[in-house]
Amino acid sequence: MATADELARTEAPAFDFQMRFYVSGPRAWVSTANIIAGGAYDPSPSTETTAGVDATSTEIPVDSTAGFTTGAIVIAPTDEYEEYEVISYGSKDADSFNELTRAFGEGLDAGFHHGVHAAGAAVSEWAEITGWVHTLELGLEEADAIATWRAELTGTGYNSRLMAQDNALLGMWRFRPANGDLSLWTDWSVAFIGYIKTADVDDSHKQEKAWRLDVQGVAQYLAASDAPAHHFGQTDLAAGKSVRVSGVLHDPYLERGSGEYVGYPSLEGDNLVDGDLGTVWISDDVPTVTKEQRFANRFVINEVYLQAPPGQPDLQWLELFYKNQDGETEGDLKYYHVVNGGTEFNWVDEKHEFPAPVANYINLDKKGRPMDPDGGFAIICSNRPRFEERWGVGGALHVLDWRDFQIGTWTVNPAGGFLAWFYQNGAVESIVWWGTAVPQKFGARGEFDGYGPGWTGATIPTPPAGHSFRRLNAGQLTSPDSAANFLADEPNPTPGLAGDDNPEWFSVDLGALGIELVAELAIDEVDELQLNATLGLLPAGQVMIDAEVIEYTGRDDDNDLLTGLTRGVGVTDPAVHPVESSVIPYEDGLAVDAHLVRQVRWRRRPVLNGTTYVVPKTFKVFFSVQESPIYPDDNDWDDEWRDHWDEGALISVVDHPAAATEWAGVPPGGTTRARHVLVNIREMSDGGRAKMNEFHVYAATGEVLDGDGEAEGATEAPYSGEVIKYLLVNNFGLDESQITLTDQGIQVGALPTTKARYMQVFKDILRRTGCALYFGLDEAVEHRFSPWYPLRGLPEVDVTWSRSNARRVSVTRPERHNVSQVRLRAMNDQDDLIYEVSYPPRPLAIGSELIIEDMVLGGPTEACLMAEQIFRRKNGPLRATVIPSGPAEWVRPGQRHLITWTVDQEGTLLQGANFVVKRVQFGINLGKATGDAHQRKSWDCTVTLDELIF
Amino acid sequence: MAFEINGSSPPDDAEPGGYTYRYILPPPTGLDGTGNAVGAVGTPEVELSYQSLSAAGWAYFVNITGGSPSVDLSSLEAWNPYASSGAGAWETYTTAVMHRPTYERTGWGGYEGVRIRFTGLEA
Repeated sequence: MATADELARTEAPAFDFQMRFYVSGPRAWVSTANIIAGGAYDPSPSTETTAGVDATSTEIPVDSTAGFTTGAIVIAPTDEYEEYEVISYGSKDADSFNELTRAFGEGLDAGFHHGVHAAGAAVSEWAEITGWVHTLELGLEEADAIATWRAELTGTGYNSRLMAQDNALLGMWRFRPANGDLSLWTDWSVAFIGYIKTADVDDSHKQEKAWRLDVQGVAQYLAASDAPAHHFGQTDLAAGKSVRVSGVLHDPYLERGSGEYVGYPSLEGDNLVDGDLGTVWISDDVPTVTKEQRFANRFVINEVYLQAPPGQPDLQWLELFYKNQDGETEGDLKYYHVVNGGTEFNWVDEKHEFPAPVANYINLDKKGRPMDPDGGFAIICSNRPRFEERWGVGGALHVLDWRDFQIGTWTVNPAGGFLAWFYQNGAVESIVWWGTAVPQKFGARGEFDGYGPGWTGATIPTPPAGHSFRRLNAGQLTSPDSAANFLADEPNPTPGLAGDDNPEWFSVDLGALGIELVAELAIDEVDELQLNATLGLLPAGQVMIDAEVIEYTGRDDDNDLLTGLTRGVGVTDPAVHPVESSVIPYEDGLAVDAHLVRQVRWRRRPVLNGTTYVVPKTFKVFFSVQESPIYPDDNDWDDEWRDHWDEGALISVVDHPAAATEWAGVPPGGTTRARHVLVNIREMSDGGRAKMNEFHVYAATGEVLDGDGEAEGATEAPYSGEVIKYLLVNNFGLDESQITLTDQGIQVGALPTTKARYMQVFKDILRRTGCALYFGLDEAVEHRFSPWYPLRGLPEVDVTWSRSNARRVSVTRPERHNVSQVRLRAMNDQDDLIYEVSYPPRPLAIGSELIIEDMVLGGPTEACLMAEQIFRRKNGPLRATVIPSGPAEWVRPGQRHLITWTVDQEGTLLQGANFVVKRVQFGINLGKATGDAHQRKSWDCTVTLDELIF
Repeated sequence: MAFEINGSSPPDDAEPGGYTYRYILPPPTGLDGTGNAVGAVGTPEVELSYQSLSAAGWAYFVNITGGSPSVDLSSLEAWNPYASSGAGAWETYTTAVMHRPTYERTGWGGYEGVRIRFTGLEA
């Protein structure tokens, strides 16, 4: 914020300024962290050499080194045979500078007078060049959410030693009036500290040695240097990978009222890894949590599905369960018939002995279809292709289409009737009655009441269309049987399945690591391995390339290197390995091309079923390093899963609280290798189908920033500002104290960055997060939310420009028909939200559609606001130019200014109008003589502002 | 008091005064939105303009600047006509820059069209 004194000076009718300029060594030599723009700084430390110095001297003897702090000195010439020399020192004693780095200039040798200085030569921390500077153009501008600055100095008397590229150039200034007194100067303060980018020299017969220097801040190096690639945040190995699931809800109408989705969306497993909490996978079947008791009563009609729901193709089926008490005797479908009320029998006598039906029944008396004596299911359905399309084969040993077996006509009335499992030699082994069937004493001629043998009591109520009735436990019945043994309304029919044979599951194939050599590895190379990535490798360990095991002691993630190599470990031999050779972690004597997993996490969109959130209640997480493991649907799963999945890494969760809509777990031991991760859901909190929105598998390696932007290995998602700070401090080398996170930015779950120019990386992050970066007139950098998109708050007002403090205001109302609609696609991967918003809702008739991708914002509300801001900013916001009355040396890009100035007849256009500074330009003439022509001292300031819309 | 540079006075025939002496306050560089003058930047200046200056007078001034286009003065005694509510007063400036004298042509026994500028006057 501008101080009251600065604002008063801006209004003062008369003011004055003075500037001083100093030069020192290149940025690599000079520590400028304590030189703060606007702050005090003493550039005056100086001393004298106490003995002569030549080009081979390794120390500079001086009177005193007190006060020298930057790490560089400048020795001035004592006569026309000497020249300025900038020297870096690594250490200093009380009376000498030591550990010198000396440069005589490109192409110059340490001969003749280069590097020669007589005793008594002035040694300064900064060489003052004020007398040579005539003009200064200082411009600060924000572009693409990054504010940088540049200074252009002109003068005479060019000195190639001092005004060399990369040399630090320090500008200081002071002003008056101070405290309203025109005779009072402010203290000297740092105007800017930058580095010479280019130098132009012009000379003629006048021999003025005129020069022009382009000086910029640290941003010039960020624009020219590559930031290494990073995986900031929690690297989600599952994102976008291949997903396999136990089944997908075939009839979405069955969950139409669950609040899981609107319309008819895809419910496929891919939704689990799409980063969008709004999409969902729903299993077709309902998982069961406890092992159902399976009763050994030979053949039992176990479940019956009488009618498909409206709009669905007709379908009926009955499920048979067979289990023999001795566990050895196989049953076989071929000895049985299915009969009902329409079946005609050849009655033998009056004692319900009926050796064979003769018409209207299903005759399975053909080829053998054995049943598992330990328990198994068979399905007899009205339409097998339709059944399998709907449910698949599931766990049934046999799925038969009764049209292939029916004798005569065969119809099953959903309203009421019975189905009986009939042994061919004349006995009913299982019968079920349902609906409105009238007791007819089937198979009985007087001995039985009600419905006849094998059944007592009422029928089972006909379930709603799409539902079934089933036994409470597979094979469980009483003698006689009754409706009490049945669940009359099963909303989630499970033909061919029961008990613990019915977990619902999803599994993600994380893929192989895919680490390769990017440079040939020579047979004798022991320094480094150059890779395409290091994600998945331990900080130190062993890798296998071809047949050679190589041990390494260091991992350089910034440069994708393994360092400190020991070749040919164990019985292997060093060899040459060509580019693109696979590099595989070698651990415990095994090469495992699988990721290192630190954590798995699932997230459910909060959906209530009644008062209960619908979340997995009982589930297990399995890890496998195999390329093709078996899955729970495999018949051999129970016996062989340990051969495919790591039992030691198994995570088992029982009674996960329904209030928690997300869960994260760590493999036993902290990390585990995994190619596949499988989640078996055995029970949902509402007892319904398995449902899941997002599943993440986080890598154990990779760079993770915590909230402070420091710790590696933390589990918190980083803020975008922390990522930029990390790059500036840890990679570029700025002092941490120089970075100010006024706003931390947007929290991102994961933020991979590619190897690219720092400024390009920053621009991308800032664009996606609606933030801005401000480079100060020193090495300081500030990160905050962009004032153009005031999503999280408005900047304070620095000044109101009016007729009393400005000379002129110009306003431009630019073309407004540029964009017809802004469509903004944003995500919040911390909350697994993906959304697209449009503003205005209907595109205008004029203009082009503007699509903005990959934004990372807090939520749809922010996205809507930003879309509106962008739309309005693209379509003719006001742009103003203000010429302040006074110096206005405090104006910076990003500041919020108001303008109150009547420029229209209505007097409404600029009344307290909000603007943000886009650019400020200072044109300063220091009033020096050029030749005999005297230049008047002058100061011009132009502020360019764009309208702030909120 | 009289005009002095670094404590020495010009020769009598080079004593500034009348048409030769001008004391200049920094002029405003513009008007603010209400029409008031603003942007008067810098410090007062003094300009000496001699239609004709004797060789001795010329030598006196050139001797001060030497070979430099300008030189910092340790003191300058100058008449400020704006002081004392317009009555004017002699003032001593401890900071000032004297610029190398220029002339238009040589004349009999001296130089014509001589201009000497003193800038950065600060008491």
